[in-house]
Amino acid sequence: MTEFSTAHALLAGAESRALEIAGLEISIVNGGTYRPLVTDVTMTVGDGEIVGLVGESGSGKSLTALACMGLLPDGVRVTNGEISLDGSSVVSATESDLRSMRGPRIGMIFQDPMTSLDPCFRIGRQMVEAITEHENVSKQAARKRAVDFLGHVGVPDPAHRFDAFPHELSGGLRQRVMIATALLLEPKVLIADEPTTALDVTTQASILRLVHRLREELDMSVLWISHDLAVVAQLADRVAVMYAGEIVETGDTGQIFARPRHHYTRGLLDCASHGERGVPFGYIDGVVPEPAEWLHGCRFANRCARADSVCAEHPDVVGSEHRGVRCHHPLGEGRSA
Amino acid sequence: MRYVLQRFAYAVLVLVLASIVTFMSLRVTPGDVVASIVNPATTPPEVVEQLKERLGLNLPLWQQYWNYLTGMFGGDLGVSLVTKLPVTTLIANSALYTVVLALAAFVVAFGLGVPIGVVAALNKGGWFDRLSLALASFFLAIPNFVLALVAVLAFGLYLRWLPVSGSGSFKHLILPALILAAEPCALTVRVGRTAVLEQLTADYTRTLWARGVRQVRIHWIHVLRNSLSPIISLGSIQIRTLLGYTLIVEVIFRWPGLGTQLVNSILHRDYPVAQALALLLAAVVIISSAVTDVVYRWADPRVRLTGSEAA
Amino acid sequence: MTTASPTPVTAGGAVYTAVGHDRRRARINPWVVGGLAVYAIAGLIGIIALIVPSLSHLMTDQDLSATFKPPLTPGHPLGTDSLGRDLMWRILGGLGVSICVGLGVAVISIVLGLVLGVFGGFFGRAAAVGTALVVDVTWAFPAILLAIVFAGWLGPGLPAVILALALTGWASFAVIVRGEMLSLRERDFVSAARVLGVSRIRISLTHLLISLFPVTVVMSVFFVSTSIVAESGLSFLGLGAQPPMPSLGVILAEGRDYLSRSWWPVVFAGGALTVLVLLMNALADNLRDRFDPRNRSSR
Repeated sequence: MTEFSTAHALLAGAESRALEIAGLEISIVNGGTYRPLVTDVTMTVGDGEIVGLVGESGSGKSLTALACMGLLPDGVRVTNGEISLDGSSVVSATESDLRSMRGPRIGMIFQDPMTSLDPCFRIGRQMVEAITEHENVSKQAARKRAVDFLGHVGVPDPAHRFDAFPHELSGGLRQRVMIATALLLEPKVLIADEPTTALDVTTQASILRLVHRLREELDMSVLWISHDLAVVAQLADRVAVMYAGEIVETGDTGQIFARPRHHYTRGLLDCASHGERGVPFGYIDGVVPEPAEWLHGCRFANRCARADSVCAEHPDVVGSEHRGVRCHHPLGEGRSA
Repeated sequence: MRYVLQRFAYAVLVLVLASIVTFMSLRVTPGDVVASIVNPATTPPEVVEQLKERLGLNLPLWQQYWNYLTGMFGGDLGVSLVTKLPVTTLIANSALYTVVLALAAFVVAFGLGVPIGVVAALNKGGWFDRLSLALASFFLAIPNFVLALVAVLAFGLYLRWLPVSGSGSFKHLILPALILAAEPCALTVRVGRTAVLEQLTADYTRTLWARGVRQVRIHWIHVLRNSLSPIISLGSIQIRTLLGYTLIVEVIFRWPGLGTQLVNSILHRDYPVAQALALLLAAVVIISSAVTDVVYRWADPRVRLTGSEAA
Repeated sequence: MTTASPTPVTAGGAVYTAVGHDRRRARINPWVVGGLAVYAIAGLIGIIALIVPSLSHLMTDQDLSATFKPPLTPGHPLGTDSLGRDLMWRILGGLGVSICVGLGVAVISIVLGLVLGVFGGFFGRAAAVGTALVVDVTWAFPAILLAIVFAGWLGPGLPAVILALALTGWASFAVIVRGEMLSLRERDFVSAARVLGVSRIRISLTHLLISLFPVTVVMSVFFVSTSIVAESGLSFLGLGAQPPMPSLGVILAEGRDYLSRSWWPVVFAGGALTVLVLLMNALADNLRDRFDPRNRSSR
């Protein structure tokens, strides 16, 4: 487990990194006892970078994202490690500091755009509210900014749509509105928690194009969370793979996809590949374990073909932060066998 | 807008049916009507026949109904068999008392219930929350006439703070209104609390937090607004039960409203009065439920556009 | 679960509930069941006493030399009323009456509600509107009014009360059943079953009954509780049980007339009634929790 002090050391020598997570541990706290849900997560998102965070449900990726916003649910807390947003600590910030950070410095968009917008208020009003809660501008000025940005993200007839209710818009449009509202305040970092999972493939593609474009224009950093490898492959510069509450592999997108080093990553890639006749679908035996079922050694050991007695000891990350793998027997070069 | 018309048309239909039902159930045995005026055993049959003629009891039922309807639109609801006063006068006299009582109870129930429920939800798990829930359960369980009796015992006999019967002053209103409001208030606290709690954990609330909107604004503008629908539909159900309870409370506290009048009129077989009052009661329920349906649709913009099924 | 507790390092969080918290509510509270069992036994004693002549006199024997005896008088643990009748036996009898009426009305309401609800929800638009009309007309008249009317017709007494309560009770249940039916029709698995060729009736009945089971159970408890209260209320007004038959409402009415001389009839009868309703409400809540949160898993 990374000590708090090591995390500090990392941060002391940091250049401009938009989002830094070091040795993060998140647990359910129940009075005096606590049960970890996420352990030893270390990753960064540099300026203007898109980092994909990949994992199945239950891997802890959403919790990590929420922790970056200071929005962990009741009873769940960061119990170790540090999160730093452009130099400021999230973990030791007060609620009022956090509030001023959320929105103008770090934004987040969520998976289901239908339920993520207040159904009783028009979208325009919600956008204006986002602005006026942080900046001292007039409602008209805010409105103009909002309408302009709506057009910018590709919403047709933005002046009219401004007055629409969320349920009057299609899923793709709603997600664009969510993105627009999040970016309206020009945050340094945008966290996207599975924003295209609820959309159909065509809409998904257009949203991805939008994000690409915005990243160019705004020089924005993005942490894109997804269980969909295809999406991550198209979008991200670097990828981190999570399993059972910890990071098991990090690297450039190209490296990860061409030469995965962790067995789980390889398994995921096998599952995702399809389309070849006669080649059976890949699958990984077993299910993702609940925190209560985590093994003390390597948490993937019971599903790994390569596991042996060495794996009873919990592996640390081997390699650097930019290209690392948490495994006693990482795969060598090449994908076969 | 179309919905409003549809809904009220339906309400009228129900009202008509209700009037037929009231009419039939009270007129079916003409012998009874006569018996309430004169004693059939001691009166000569010709007099009885004359009476029946005069009261129009020998006409076919549907014609009697028609006469009644047309009379009603003309402002004539008949004459009380017991007091010989026009029914409309009697109703006007007592209606005010009942309206005052019901309104007072309604104001207390919602005026207290909603804020308590909201604050309880916002402080979930705290002492205020637990106390409110416990009290709400208690007041929901205790039947209102038991509560009334206990109140009479405590406040009327032992403490002698408030009067327990009659209607002379504002003080007379306090106890009946509070007793009447107890159960609706408790229910409102519970429903309001649940509604707010659901909204607090909704996805959109999370988005608002993520945008850095202030907590005060999230709670008191967004969450509250979204909590309205369940609370409003509760209101419609409340009205009906409130009417039923008003009857009992009026009788217990001898509050001279429509309730006491209704009970007395039926027990004394004063049919014109009973009929008119029953119909009035039904009309209130039907109309208020139509109004609440319309308001409910307004409150939830999603229903406005998509809903098209009948109630 | 590790036990060491580092100082939690973060501030700020939203007010939502954490993952997986309310699991402990799945069991039914044993106190509630115990309490209700006590009532059931008491009621049973009351019913037996009502029926068996050699016991029923305990409730109706007047003893004019022992009127208004307070509780804990020897021979009369709960005291006596204005005619010297033993309060405890009268309350037991009253409980017996309450339980009979409550169960009777609940059964009738549920059956009627089911039948009409299914009819309304299933057989197309006309039936739906038709039942809606009947329901709404019934809804417009509070139970008390109907009870008074029936009392006028049939003479006051329990049959009038039962009739009135049942007629008003089924309406609320029918609405719920119909709602459930309508939503069921839309559901995917119904279409799937129809594709497979299962007949319409079988689909509805099977799925409907299964999905209605929790609601029915909870509503039954609720019905019994409200009918008991309603019966007491009507008896209190003089419309229900007629003397010398005891009923909690009758005891309360009589107690009210002599409130200044004896507080115990009102307090004990009222207390018995309140506690019973509290227990039943708690049971209904428990049952609802038991059936519900399984569907609401949070992840």
